[in-house]
Amino acid sequence: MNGHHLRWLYGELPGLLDAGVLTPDAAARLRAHYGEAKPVSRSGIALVMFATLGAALIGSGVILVIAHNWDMFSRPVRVAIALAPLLVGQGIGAWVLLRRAHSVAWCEGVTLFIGAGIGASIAIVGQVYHLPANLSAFYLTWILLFIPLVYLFNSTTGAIFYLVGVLVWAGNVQFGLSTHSVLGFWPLTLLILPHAFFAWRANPGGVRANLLARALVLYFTIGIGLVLERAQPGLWMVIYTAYFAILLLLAPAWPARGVRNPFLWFGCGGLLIIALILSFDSPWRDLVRDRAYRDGAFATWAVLQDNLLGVLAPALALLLAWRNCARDWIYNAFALALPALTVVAFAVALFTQTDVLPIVLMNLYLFVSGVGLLYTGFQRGALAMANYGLLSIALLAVFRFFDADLPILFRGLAFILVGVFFLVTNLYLVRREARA
Amino acid sequence: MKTVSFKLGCFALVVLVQILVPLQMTQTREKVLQRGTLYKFRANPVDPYDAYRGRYVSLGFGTESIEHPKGVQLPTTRQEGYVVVRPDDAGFAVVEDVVLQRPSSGDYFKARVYGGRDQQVWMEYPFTRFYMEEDAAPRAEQAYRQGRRDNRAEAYITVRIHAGQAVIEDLFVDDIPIHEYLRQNPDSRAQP
Repeated sequence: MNGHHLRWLYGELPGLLDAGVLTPDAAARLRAHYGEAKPVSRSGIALVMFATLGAALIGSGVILVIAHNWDMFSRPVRVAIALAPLLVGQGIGAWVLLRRAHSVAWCEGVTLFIGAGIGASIAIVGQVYHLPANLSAFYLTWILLFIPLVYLFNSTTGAIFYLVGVLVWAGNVQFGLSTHSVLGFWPLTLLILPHAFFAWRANPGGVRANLLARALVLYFTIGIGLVLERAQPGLWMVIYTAYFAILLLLAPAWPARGVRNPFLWFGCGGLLIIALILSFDSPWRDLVRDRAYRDGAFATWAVLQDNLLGVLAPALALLLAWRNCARDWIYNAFALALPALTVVAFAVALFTQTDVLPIVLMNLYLFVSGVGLLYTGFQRGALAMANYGLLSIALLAVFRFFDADLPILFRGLAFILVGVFFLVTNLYLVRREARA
Repeated sequence: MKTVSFKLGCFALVVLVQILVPLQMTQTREKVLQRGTLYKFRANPVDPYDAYRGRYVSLGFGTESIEHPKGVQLPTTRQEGYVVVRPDDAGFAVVEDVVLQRPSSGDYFKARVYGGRDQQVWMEYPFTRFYMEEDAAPRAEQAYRQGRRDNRAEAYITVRIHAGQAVIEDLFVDDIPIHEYLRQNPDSRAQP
């Protein structure tokens, strides 16, 4: 439990004791169980933010100053200039480890500063010797030299910087002129997971764990799209729907609720967006025509990776649903419905070479799940769930109106109808909640 | 205290590697510049920008493909290969062959190569950028263009080649090193 919640709980205790809800003994046991409520210092958080931002700005400035290209100096002098920010950063780093190891602001700031120093030193050596733009090698060297700092300084912004670096590297490998294999994404990802695990174990509801959870969820959402070899058209649908289902099924295990739970809103949002995309004909057209997304040869291991992901992701979603099954079957059914339907639609499109049935299935899914969630939301008085259902139906209607060749007047009326339906439903739910 | 010492020890190791990597890059190139054979490559400079390394003169060569010996076909995907060169009478590089195995003798450098249509083999030279100061790079391009209009300027780079590595030494316009050329022609201004 984080400090904010603990302070609330401890603030409630005197009232609960007076009302006889808790005995003094039980209150003391609660205090002993949860321990001291550490004060959250706003100035401390601001200091960390400013230190991080300052280090990032200074680091970027250093890269630009060095990139100026100091033609008047000899090569050795320019190499020395290139190494100077790195050496200064490392000197500060040693001092921080000795004297300020417990200062989050110093640790976060110096990690980013040394990180910028590493990038600047490699870039400037490239500049001095006129090396070609081998960006994937540049990014890979940079992040590999940087990653130990994340652990030495326990730096979460450093971890996020690393994740961004891996994504940029993977994007460059997949879409640039690189001889690297994009499969390196997985071992590179493994390097950062222990940091996320330690942060979560230290304080599951803490700022670090929350930041890293958001970053990792976003990282995998982008990363999967980058690493897929796409030799088999349409396999991405199965993998992505299963991935968002996994997020949704992991959400109940995360301490935060509602929008503060990144697994929940990424899972819900992802499923809705993918379902909407799949309700159009273009994703299925490629599959039916058996057209690969890229010309030329595919890397064998990367194709194997795609196939493995296509099997493992749905299997993991099933496993999680099975473990969660005692909790809320509607929740599980909603999480699993889209991946299951996508697998069926994928198989139908692949073997029957028709895109009509998959498109119909996806449109039906959006409508049925939307109505189902709206109804369940009404029954449970869950405003967010009802709105999500309503949003599904509304977006489905909007997109189909754009799709169909209907007169403008008809479309306008339909939009007004959907908007009024939205407002009335919400009004009803809010009033019902107020009455309750 | 033990934890601090352990962390400091690890940090010292990390620091060492972080410094050694750029130094090793430097060392390799210095060796090529000192021991390598000098070649000239005709170039067409234009002036773009790199966010990390600043402004540079991008070099196009117009000789990035050769007709490969019959019967030898390279795959269309890029892979590491070796470009074998020899100098002509004026010291300009002539590409003799492109091979996938490291040659046992002669001058050659590593490059990304791939096969094209009609027995053509394409090469991506590992020296396509000549970094210059922010205001000098556009002036260099402008000087070259002006010279081309007057039918006199020829631009080439000098490259040192040694043990499969190639490192640019200088950029020449009209047989004059570019910095010297810009000093002699202070009026060559970059066009907006």
